Amino acid sequence: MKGLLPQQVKDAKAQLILGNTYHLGTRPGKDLLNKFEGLHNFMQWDRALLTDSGGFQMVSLLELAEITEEGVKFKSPYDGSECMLTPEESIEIQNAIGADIMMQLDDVVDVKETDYERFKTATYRTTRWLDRCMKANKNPDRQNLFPIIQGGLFPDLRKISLEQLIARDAPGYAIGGLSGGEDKDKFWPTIHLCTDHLPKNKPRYCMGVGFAVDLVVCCAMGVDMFDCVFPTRTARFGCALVDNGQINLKSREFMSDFIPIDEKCDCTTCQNYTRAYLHTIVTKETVACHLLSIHNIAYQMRLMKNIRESIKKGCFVEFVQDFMSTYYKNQEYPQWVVDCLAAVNITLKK
Amino acid sequence: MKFVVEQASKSSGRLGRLTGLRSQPTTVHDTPLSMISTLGGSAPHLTQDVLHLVVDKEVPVCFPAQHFCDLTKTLQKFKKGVTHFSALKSHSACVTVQDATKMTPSGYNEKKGISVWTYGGRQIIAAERYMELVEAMQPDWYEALNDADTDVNSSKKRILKSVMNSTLMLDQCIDISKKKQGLREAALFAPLLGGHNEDERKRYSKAIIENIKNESVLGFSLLGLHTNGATAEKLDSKLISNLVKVSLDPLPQDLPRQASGAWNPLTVITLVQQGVDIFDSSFPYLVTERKGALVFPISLTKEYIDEKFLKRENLGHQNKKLKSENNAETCHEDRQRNKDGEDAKENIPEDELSSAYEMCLKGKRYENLMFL
Repeated sequence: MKGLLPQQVKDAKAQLILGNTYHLGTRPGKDLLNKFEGLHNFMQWDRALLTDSGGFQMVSLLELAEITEEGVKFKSPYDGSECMLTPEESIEIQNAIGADIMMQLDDVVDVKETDYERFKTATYRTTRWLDRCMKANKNPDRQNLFPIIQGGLFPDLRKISLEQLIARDAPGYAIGGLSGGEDKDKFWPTIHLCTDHLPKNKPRYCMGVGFAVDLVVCCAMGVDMFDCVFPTRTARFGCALVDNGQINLKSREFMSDFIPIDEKCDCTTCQNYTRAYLHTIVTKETVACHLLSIHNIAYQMRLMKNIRESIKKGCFVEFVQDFMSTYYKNQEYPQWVVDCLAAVNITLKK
Repeated sequence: MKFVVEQASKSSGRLGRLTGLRSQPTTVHDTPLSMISTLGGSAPHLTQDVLHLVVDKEVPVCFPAQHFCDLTKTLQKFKKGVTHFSALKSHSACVTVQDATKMTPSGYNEKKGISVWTYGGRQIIAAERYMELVEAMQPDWYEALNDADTDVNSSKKRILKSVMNSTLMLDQCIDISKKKQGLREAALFAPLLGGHNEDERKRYSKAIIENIKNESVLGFSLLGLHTNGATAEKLDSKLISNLVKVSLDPLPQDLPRQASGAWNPLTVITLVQQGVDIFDSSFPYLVTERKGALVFPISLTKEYIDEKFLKRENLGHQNKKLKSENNAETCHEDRQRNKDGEDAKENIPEDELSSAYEMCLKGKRYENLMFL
């Protein structure tokens, strides 16, 4: 985690952290990871690890990525040579990393792409690649391979993907291809469709979702796991997560604001640092980025804990209502939030 | 502030105790000691909780005034001083004029004030404004404002100007310190200047004796030998030994002497022998920034690394890779090997910084050395 010691990540009560297969496969590389018997040992992390397939980074970071039936073809940013990430190679790297949960290599299409045929190809190809990934997995007993539901924003393709992937009997399922800037009105029905069909006794993981409202809404629809760079990325821009969104500590309004980011927060940043001090160093000193990352991760972890607690106590509906009325000033809820929650029988307070 | 020299000898420096600090009335600091250097009020890259994994919670911290020039009003409103403001309230604080971790550009000081580089750019700060800031920062001790823009290459004219400006500023700071209630309990350290000129350094130290007698000055800050950043590290300890000696000789034994700057460890030892009591952590900072890890003892380290390299070369693999990497990323150990060994290809920029005290963790050099 950028700027944080493993112990600080633990202190933030993180149970499971995500490693990027593409980055780890490039450096330290699978040979070195194999020698160290995996990433847990290499980074001294004794909790759970999840790795993505590396495909997303290829498509989003590399200009020259080309997807073929064989895999993702790309030009190495290091020496310009042509490389190929196949489902087998992705799993080989993920086996070397030794993550507790691995992702299949999927055919990722930009969600804003409009060509139905491209999504159709991707949906079927993702199933074929899953079969190759499952076959390649050397540690099925201790490394859980999750398929990724594809199909863009097309309900028929999502249904095909769901049917095919559920037939493969995996330990858990991921919902992919979303969080790429699509309309929220299309986003939530797609999630809803997936959670409706996915087996109830297996974890559902919604990839790339991390805004507080989205987390609460997706939990309401029955999603169990999330990942997102948002808390740490927004920290780098000097922003801190609070109950009604986020505050930008660069703003001059915090110059003489001698209270913590959140007086109720128990993270080490809020216990020790004032907004006024953070204002003087945000975007100037790396420490500011670390301090905000600590707070933002703690915020996110606490949000999820509160969701779990409310479900345990049987008051999740009240939790959602309270959360939304705090988050949106004057109860001015976006329509998609109202619609989505209505679909799972939660009516927001007016 | 009270300072007691417990033990002193000509060859081995002195042991002392720093006590009675206003922020830590009961804490005893043993000297020689190193303060923690800060950038913007924090140890570089380290949040408070992580800093406390490494150092004692009471260790003195050094705050360069240049990082706080725009914060006088904020600190006045805050009322509790810079250590509380920076979330380092368990520590005691020293305020210096310039940041010892960054080279101070030369040629910008004027009679009316000193140039400091804040986050927003250069500002000229005069004694009045400086002292107002210091008062708001509430340190335990602080340097008087000074023009320390001299190094080994400085002309006699520049040295004289530095001495003249600084003498004037010292007098101004002393005057102001007596008027300001908030500065009563903060100890003023007089700068020791004179560039690399023994006569000027001696004359300067003698000239400030009067201020010591009337207790306006409670310590000294050895300055003007370098212009901060890596310029301190590159100084040859033999070259400065006499300069330090002539600066310190006229001074009473019972006041603390500080020498901020990124001195390399050998120079630190020389300075301790000469009777310096207080240092800062700018050298570790510079090494960190160039991805180096300090290793002691030095001789063992070199053998240790060489042995590991030999083992690796004997294994045969990686050998080619290693040679092809003798480029800008290569550091000291490899350079030594190149000079000694058969591979004479030398394409490392001469000015690339590294030292005998560190191992450079950049590049792929250590990626297969799997031991702790």
